[in-house]
Amino acid sequence: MLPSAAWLSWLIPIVGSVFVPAFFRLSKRAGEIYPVAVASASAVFSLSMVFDVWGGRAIEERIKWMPMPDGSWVEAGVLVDPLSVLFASIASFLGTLIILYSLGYMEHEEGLPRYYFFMLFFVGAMVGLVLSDNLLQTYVFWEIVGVCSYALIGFWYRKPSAAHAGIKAFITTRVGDAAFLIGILLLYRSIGTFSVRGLSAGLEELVSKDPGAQGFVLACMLLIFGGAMGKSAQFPLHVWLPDAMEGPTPVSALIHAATMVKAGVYLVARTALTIAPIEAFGRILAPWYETVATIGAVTAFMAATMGLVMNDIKRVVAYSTISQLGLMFAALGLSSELGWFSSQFHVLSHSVFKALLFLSAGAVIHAVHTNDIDEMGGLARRMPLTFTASLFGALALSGVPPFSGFFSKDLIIEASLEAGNTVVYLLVVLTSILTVAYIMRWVYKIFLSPPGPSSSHAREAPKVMTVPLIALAGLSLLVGLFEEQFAGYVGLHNHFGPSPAAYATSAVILASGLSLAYAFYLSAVSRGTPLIDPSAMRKNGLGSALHKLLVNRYYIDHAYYRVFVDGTLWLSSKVRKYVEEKVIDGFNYALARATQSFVQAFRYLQTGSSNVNVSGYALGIAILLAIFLIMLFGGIRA
Amino acid sequence: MTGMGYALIFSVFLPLIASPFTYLLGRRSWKYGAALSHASCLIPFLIILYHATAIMDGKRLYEAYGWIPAFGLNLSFMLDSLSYPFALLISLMGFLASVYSHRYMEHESRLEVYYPLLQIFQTGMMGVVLSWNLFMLYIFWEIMLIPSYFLIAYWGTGNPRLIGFKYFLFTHAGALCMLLGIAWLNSIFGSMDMSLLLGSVPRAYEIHRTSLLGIAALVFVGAAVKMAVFPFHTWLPDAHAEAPTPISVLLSGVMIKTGVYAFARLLLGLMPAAVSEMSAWLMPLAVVTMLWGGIMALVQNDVKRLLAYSSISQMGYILFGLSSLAPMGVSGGLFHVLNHGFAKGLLFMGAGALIHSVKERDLSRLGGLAPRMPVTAMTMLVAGLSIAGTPPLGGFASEWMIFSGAFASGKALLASVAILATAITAAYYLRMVRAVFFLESRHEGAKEAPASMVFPMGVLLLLVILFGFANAPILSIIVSAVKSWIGM
Repeated sequence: MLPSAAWLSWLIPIVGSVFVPAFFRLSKRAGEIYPVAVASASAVFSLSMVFDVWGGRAIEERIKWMPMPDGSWVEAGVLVDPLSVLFASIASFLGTLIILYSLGYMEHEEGLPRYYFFMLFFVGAMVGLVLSDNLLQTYVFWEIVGVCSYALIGFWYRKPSAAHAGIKAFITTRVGDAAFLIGILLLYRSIGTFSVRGLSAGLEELVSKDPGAQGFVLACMLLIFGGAMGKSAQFPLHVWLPDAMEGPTPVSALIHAATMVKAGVYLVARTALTIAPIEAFGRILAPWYETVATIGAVTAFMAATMGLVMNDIKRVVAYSTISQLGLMFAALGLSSELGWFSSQFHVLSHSVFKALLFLSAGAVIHAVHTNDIDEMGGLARRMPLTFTASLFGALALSGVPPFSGFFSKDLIIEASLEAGNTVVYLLVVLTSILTVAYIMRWVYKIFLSPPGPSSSHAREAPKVMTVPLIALAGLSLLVGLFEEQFAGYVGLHNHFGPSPAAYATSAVILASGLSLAYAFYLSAVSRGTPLIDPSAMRKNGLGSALHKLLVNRYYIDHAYYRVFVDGTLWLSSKVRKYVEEKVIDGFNYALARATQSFVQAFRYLQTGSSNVNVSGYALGIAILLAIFLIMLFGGIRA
Repeated sequence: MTGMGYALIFSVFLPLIASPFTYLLGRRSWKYGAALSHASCLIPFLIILYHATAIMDGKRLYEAYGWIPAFGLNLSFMLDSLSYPFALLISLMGFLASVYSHRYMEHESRLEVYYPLLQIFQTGMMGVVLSWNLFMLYIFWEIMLIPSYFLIAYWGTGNPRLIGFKYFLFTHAGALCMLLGIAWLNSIFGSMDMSLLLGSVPRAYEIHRTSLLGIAALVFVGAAVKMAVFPFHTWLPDAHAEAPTPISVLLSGVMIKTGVYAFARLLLGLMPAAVSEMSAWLMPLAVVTMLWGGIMALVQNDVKRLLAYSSISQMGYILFGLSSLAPMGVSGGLFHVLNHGFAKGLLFMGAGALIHSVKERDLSRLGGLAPRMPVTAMTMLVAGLSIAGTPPLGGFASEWMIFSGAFASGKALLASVAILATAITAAYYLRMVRAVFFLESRHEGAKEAPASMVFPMGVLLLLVILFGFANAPILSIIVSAVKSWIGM
C-alpha cells in the first residue's frame, strides 16, 4: 500500500477538483490533462491497496471529527477491505479512462471547467463513500455523489429536459436517502455509534439481550435498503435513471452505469458482510433478504421489458443498467455466500461492459449527432472499431462465453438454484433472455440495419476516445477468466464448482434470447427482411397495448407526476390561497379592521362643534361633582 | 469568569455611538457615512472573534456597570458559550450587510439616515444576546424593532408602510408578552439579573409551577413571534420579502435568531421543566411550522418571498431541535442558528444580486443567468443545498443532530416526517435555481454583481462549506453551552 493510500485515494481528487478552473485559465490543454492526471493518481493509490487486503484482510484508521454533547466524538475513518477496495478501484480506474475519453467527446463544449470539476469531485466522493468506516460518513459522500450527479445530468442546463432531469434525479433519490438517514439515526440512537464494525458488535449484543429487538433491527435495515433503492434505481424509485441520460454520455458511463448507481449494491453488500453478517443475522434478517431479492428480481424483469421498446440509444442501455442492478440485488437477497460473491463479481464485470456500452454509444452519438436508433443503421462499416467494441459489450451483457458477463451471470443463476428460490430463478432467467433480445436489437438497429438518415457522414471517433474503448473491450473479455482469483481476493475459500444445471440454464437463455433476436432483427441482415416483422406485431390489439404500456413505462412516471408533483403543487397552492391568505392572514387583517371600526365608532363623538363640546364638558363636570358629593356626604358606608 | 475591560459594552454600543457621526458624515457624502458604518460593525466582530479561544477554554466574559442605582438597574453583559455563537453571527452578518449595502443601496435616497439606522439595529441585536439583565434584554429587544421598522417602511418595496406597520404590530405584541413574562418573573423572584435567576428559578419550579408555566407561555409567545412559528408567521414573508435586501439579510439571517436565543436562555436555561411539560405540544408545532413554510415556499413566484417562507420552515427545524430537550437536539438547533443564518443571508444576498443586475425577482420572468452571474448561481445553489440538509455543507451538520435529538427523545415519527420534509426543501430550492439560472437566457446584458457585493457572498459561501465538516471548534463551544447552561 502506498502511504496513507486509504485517505489520499479520495482526498486527492476532492482537493484536486478545486484547482480545475485554475488550470483551465492557464490553457485549455492544461485544464484537460490535469483532471486525467489527478484521476490516475487516485487510481494508483486505490489499486495499490489491492494486495494489502487480498484474502479478506481489513485495515481500519480513524480520527476525531465532531464533538458531541455527551462528551463522545463522532469519528471519521476508513475501512480498507476487499469490498471497499474493489469499489474504490473500479471508481478511480474507470474514472480515469472515462475522463480521458471525455477529452475527445467534450472537446467542443462550453463549461469544461465545471464539467471536469464535478467529474473529479465525483471520483473522490465515490472512492470516499466506499472507504468510509462509518455510516454517517458514508451518508455524507452518498449525498455528494448525488449532487455531482445532479450537476452533471443538468450539464446542458439550457435544455429544459436536462434541467428537469437533474431535479428529478435529486429529489427521487432524496426520498430514498431520507429513509437511509432515518435508519442510520435509529441505529445510532440505540447503539451509539455510526461505525460499521461498532454497529455489528452492538447489534449482536442488542439482539442477544433482547430478542424483541429483532423487529427493530429489521426495520432499520429496511430503511437503509430504502437508500439503496433510490441510489441504485430500484422499483419503485427507478424513474430517475432513464431521464438521467440527458447528461453527457461519459457522465452516464461513469456515474449512471459503472459507479454511483452501484453504491446501493455496495451498501447492501456491506450490510451483509460487516454490519449484519449473513452467518449471524441471516435468520433474523430473512424477511429483509426476501425483500431485497424480490425487489431486485422484479426490477430486473420490468426494466428489461422496457429496454425492449426504447428508441433512444442511451435509454436502452439505461434500462439495461437498472435491470442488471436488479440482478445484483436479487443475488444479494439470496442471503448466501455464493449469492454475495456472484453479485460482487457481477458488479465488477458489469462495470466494465456497461461503461464500454455507454462509451460506444457516446462514440456513435459523437459521429451521428442523434440519439434516435431509428435514424442510425449501417454503422458497422463506417465505424468498425466502435462496432467491435459494442459487440464485445453486447456479448458480455448477454452472457456469451468467454465474455465476463457469462461467468458472473452463471454464478447468479447457480446461486439462485442453490438457494432454491424459484421466483428469483425464473425472473433471472426471463430477464436474461430479454437482455439478449434487447441488446441485439440495439446492435442491429445501430450497426447492421440499412443506413438511416443520420448515418451518411459518420466517421470513427478520435484516438483519445477509442483507446478507452479498446481497453474496456479487452477487459470485458478478460475479467471473467479470473473468477477464482477474485474469490481468493475477497477471502472465500470454497470452490464454487460449475453446476450442470446452471450451465444448462445459461445455454437455454442464450438459445432463446438469440433466436428471438434472430427472428425479429438479425435475420434481416442476410434475408433483407426479418422472419417476424416487429412493426406487424404492434398492429394487433394485444401487441399494440403491450407496446403502449412499455413505451409509457407502465405509466409509473405519469402516476408519480400526477400524485407527487402536480398533487403537491395543487394542494400547496390551494392551502396558500384559502388557508394562509384567507384564514390566517385574513384573521390578522380582520382583527385590524375590527379595531379600526371600533375606534371609528367613537369618532362621531368628536364633532368639533363647540356647543356639543361644552355640553359634554358640563355633563362631565356634573357627574364628577355628583360622585364627589356622594362620597363626601355619607354615600359610602364603610 | 473574567470581568475586565470594556470589550462587551464597546461591541454593543459602538455602532450606536457612531451612528450620529455616520449621519453627519453622511450628509456630506453618503460614502463617508457608509465607511464609518462598515468600520463600526467590523470592530465588534473582531472583538468577538478575538475571544473565541477564551470561550473555547470554557471562560466567560462578564461586565457590569451601574446605571440607575435607585431601581437597582445595572448594565451588565455576559459573553458565554451560549451567547457566543449568536454574537458571532450578529456581528459578522451586520458587517457583511453593511458592506453589501454599499453598492446595493447606492441609488437610494436618504442614505445618511439608512446607515445610522442599520447601526442602531446592530446595537439592538447585539444587546439582546449579550445582556445579562432581563430588563435590558427587553430594552434592546425594542431598540432592535424601531430602526428595523423604519428601514422596512422607508426603503422597502411593494406596500412598505402597511408591511412595516404589520411587522411593528406583530413583533411589538410579542415583545409585550415577553415584557409581561419578565415582569412576572421579577415579581416572584425580585430580580432581573440572570445570575440570580439562574440560581433560584430552576430550583423553585416545584413551588411556583403554575406561575412559571404562565411565564414560560408568555416568553414562548414572545420568542415564537420573533421566530415566526406557525401561526404567528404571517408578518415574516411580508417583512422579509419587502425589506431592502441587506435588511432582509439581517432580518432572516440574524434577527429572528434572537427569538431562538430568548428560547434557549430563558426557557431552556431557567425553566427546562416547563419546556418539558410543553414539549408534547412544541414538537408537533415545530413540525407543522417546517411543513407549512416548506409547502408555501413551493408555490411562491417571488424569489425573496420564497426565501422568507423557507426561513419559517427552517425556524421550525430549530424549534424542533430545541424542544426535543435532548442534548444532541438542542446542540443541533443552536448550531443550525449559525448554519441557517449564513446560508439564508447568502441566499438573500444572491437575490439582491439578481435585483441589482436584472431588476427582476419574479421566477417566471427570470432565466438562464448561470453563465452571466456564475458566482451568484454557485452561491445560491450551494446555500440552498445546505439548507436542504445536503452534506458536506453546514446545514446537514446541524440538521442530523436535530433529528438525532428528536430520535433520542423518542419522537421517531415526527423526526421521520422532518427528515422527509428536507426533500420538499430540496425541491423548492432546485426549482428556484432552475428558474433563475438555467434554461434559455432572457437577460442578455446581465452582469455579475460588483465586488463589494460578491465579497460578503464569498465569505458566507466559505463558511457554509467549512461548517459542514471542519466544525469542531464552533461545535465544541455550542456543546459546552448545552452542557453548562441548559440545565440538563
